[in-house]
Amino acid sequence: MSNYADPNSLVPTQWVADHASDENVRVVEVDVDTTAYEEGHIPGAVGWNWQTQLCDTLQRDVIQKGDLEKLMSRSGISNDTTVVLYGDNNNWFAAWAFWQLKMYGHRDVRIMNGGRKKWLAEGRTLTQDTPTHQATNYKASDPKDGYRALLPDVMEVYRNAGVALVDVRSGDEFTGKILAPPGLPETCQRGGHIPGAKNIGWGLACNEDGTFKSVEELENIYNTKGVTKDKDIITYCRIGERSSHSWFVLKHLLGYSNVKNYDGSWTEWGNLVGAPVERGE
Amino acid sequence: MTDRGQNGVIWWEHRWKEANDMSQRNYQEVKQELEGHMVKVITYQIESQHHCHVEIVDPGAVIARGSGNSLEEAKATALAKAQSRLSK
Repeated sequence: MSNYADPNSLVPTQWVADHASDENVRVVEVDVDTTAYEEGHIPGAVGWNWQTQLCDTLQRDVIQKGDLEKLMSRSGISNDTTVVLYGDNNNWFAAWAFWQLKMYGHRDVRIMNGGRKKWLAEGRTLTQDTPTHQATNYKASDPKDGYRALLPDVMEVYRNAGVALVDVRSGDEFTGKILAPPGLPETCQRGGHIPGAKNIGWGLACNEDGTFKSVEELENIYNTKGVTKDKDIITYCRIGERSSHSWFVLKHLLGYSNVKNYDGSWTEWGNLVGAPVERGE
Repeated sequence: MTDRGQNGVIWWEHRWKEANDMSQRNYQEVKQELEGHMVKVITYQIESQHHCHVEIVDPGAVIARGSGNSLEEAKATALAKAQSRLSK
């Protein structure tokens, strides 16, 4: 994994098997399907629920600083703990958690390459025991600039030539043929995409076993669509989690310097009265 | 490490551990069409429980999950849920 721009942000399953019980390491599972953790998880891993623990449950927003501090403290995570995140769907919500932890200034956070799928496929040890960890007194920093794009930011720059908007949804969502991935709730009034956005599905970054593709393969995927290092990049999807996966790829694996995740994403833009929309390819 | 068998089935070698902890067995992925969509049906066994989840291939999201005392029961539960969701 040394070819990646930030090789420390990614660890193989074997590293987790070797270090999961280290005192200064905390493994955390975050799944799309919130029942997966109970089925069996990496011994010692804490489970976080993205629907109730990684967001503001009153207004639509990321987790508030105070709530993150409580979550980290309850999970036995100190400011100097190495946090290793993994989950289902090739780490969709692990990446969502990674993005938020980085935004709130956690120093050492990593993703397990291949996620839950690879751990299961390799027949590695699981448990249904829920660990208890001694609470800490975790202190988060204020949200740092440079991680998140809000609606006004996107409105201001989406037509700029130096900005690359990357829509990481499926082709059918991008063209407006469907409003949400099949089988998932439709959360917008209009289908289509933000004018000028390039459609580069999040899954293109992954191999069949759930691991990330090589730097060369990833660069090729993005560069051929005009998403290059010199541009300011904004990723978006439907609710912001798939786009945090692509944000991780661009920022930490390829080392693009200015990449933000627009977590308002299509559920915000596609519901706005009067917002410009493009359909088709 | 991997061996692709007939009908797109992928088997992974898995290792066993002598410990109180569990490990999964019989991990299998099969691609098939369901309600006009390509889905991946993933099955495995943890201890005596069988598990199945159905993933829509594009964009790659789990849309249904089922568990049971047999492989057939887990698959039937997950596929029925997936079919119901995809047919809407």
